[in-house]
Amino acid sequence: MSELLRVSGATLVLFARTLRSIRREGLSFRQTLVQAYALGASSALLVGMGMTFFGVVVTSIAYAQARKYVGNVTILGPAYFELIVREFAPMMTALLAASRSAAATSAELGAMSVNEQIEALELSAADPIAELVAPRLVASVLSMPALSVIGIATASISAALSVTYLFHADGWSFVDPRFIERGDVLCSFVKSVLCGAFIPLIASVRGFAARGGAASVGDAVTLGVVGACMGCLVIDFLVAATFLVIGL
Amino acid sequence: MQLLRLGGAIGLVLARTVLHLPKLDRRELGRSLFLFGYKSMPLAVGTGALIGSTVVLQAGVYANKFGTRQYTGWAAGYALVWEFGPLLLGLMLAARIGARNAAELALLSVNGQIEGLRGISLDPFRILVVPRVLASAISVTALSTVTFLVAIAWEGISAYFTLSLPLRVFFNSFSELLGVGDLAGGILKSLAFGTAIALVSTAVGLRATGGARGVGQAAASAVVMSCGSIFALDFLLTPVLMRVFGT
Amino acid sequence: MISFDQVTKSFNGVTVLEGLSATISLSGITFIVGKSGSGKSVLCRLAVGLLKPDSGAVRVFDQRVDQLPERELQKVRAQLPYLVQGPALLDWLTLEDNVALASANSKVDGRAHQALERVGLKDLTTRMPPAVGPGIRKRAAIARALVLAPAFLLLDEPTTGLDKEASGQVNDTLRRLRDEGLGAALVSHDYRALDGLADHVIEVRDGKTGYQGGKTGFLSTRSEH
Repeated sequence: MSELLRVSGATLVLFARTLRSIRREGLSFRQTLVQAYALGASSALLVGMGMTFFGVVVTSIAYAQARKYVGNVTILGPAYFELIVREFAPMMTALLAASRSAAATSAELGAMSVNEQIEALELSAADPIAELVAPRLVASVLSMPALSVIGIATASISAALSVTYLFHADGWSFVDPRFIERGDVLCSFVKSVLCGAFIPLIASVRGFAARGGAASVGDAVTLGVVGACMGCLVIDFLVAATFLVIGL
Repeated sequence: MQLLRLGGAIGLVLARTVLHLPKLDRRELGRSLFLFGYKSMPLAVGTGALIGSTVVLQAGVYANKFGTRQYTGWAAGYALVWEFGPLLLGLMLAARIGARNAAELALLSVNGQIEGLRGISLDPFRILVVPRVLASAISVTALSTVTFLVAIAWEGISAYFTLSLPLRVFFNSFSELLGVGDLAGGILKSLAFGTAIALVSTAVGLRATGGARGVGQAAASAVVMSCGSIFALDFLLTPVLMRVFGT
Repeated sequence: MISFDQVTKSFNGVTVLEGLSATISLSGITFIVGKSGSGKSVLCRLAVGLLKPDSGAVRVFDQRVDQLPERELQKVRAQLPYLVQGPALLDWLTLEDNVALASANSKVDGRAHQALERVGLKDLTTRMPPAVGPGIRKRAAIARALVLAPAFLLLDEPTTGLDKEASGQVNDTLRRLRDEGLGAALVSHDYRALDGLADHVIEVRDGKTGYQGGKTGFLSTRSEH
């Protein structure tokens, strides 16, 4: 429990320090682009592929339920489509990106930290946070909603196609955008932005904390990935609760 | 090409694991079960609680929106638990177990302990790989059952407090929706996920080279590839399981 | 007897061994010396089949190890264990459990304990590897090989990175084992230890055998330079 508090504290502190260093030293546009590319491009394929599979799986479950209880699969459409937009797509995207990018970030910063490259940066008067964390944070906040849109799009299309061709019902009414409201989109967006900010921060905290040999790099990766995944789940829940309370 | 070679390596790990099963090192199995299973318990319980609460929140949204069609909301909630539960936990454990296993094996092979075992006629597979594959399969299955139970219990409790739905009504509606076949399907899926995580992370970990960076990279790519294979397995298994268990 | 006949081995286009021929006697202690990168460790790996030569023959007990399948190689390695230079123990097992890995039941029937006693570690059986010094870890690794009841030991830089006291203890252990009749070949650049420990010397130079013979002959050729 105290470990949990310590890590969330460290994450918040790192967030504040990153913002301060961006204000003071500006942001390396080049580095941000590099990171956005590394995160976005490498995760886009995973997200797209995963969510395509997922769309098919969700519709087959809907179909099984429909056959049992309601009759026509498209009746379940609005509920499921909303669930995809509001819950599944941002969550799965965040989790996949969390695995992918948190692992890479903790591994890279952990290896640098173990090899004392971070200290070397500090000694040469460079700010490791401005150099290493800030571009990752900005890139991740910007690309996570984009990835989430990719996730929503691929899941919806594959859901529509599988309803049409596998279950011979009207696929496009299964994913009818008329049932999506502003609240759903906003909720989805807020989730991905917050997860986008959280993932690189927790991964950096774990990476910087690595000390010793190669073993500690492995530990840093494990802790970083698990922290990122768990954090995203908590964020998902908190955002969902907030939106329910304010009635959106 | 790279993927093909890895696929071959995974197949090899599977084949050698099956061959070595009779000569299992029990102590290593115990250690792996402790590390993979027991140590992941908080993760499984936390995931279950969060899934349960989210389902109730969503159901609340539907109740607001669709009014009398609340039943639809529960149907979706059921999907969340049955489909999303094993998948979500699989992804989490791919991160937890996959990264850990790959990092540990990568470290052993980078440091030369693997060659050290081979050099004195011992089989690293028997000692280091077989117990892990088995432990991962067992752990993921057990943890996913825990997650499922926690999710349902948590869901019932939060439904009682937030929607003031009596517990008996809740569990009745659930047992109506959920058959034995559904449960068996979820368990089989988890078993497959657990095996996949172990095989992928073992194959990736044993191929690692090059110091601290190599260990980190192995852990990172093990996570990604485990996640990818879990999605693919989910896709392949769901229709098969639905047919077999006739839901 | 381990013999290398016209052995050639290259890695990524860099030739390390070039037609090397040498014979390692199974009695006494043989030092395999040479500059770093000269292929001394490659020689050991070839002897137990962890590497295959590009050409030439490697024989152990009159078997062509370069042509043996993995299953047969395991038997060779049990007779002729090769101890790697780096860490060899698993960090999460006690010294005794590490030693017992070598053979099932060896913890129960006391063979693991006896092996640790032979290397002078009978009081440290329950310690974990990270909690003891590198010299003790190395001796425990030797004990693990002893459980196999080997005919000979191959050690890769056993004292590199150890302080004077620890390497002295490892060398004492090897000397005691030799006096009990168990020979060893050591890849080493520790020339100080050579004088007190070696019976034979093989020098690898430019991918070939630079010197092969008794210790005194080697020391006199060196003092000429």
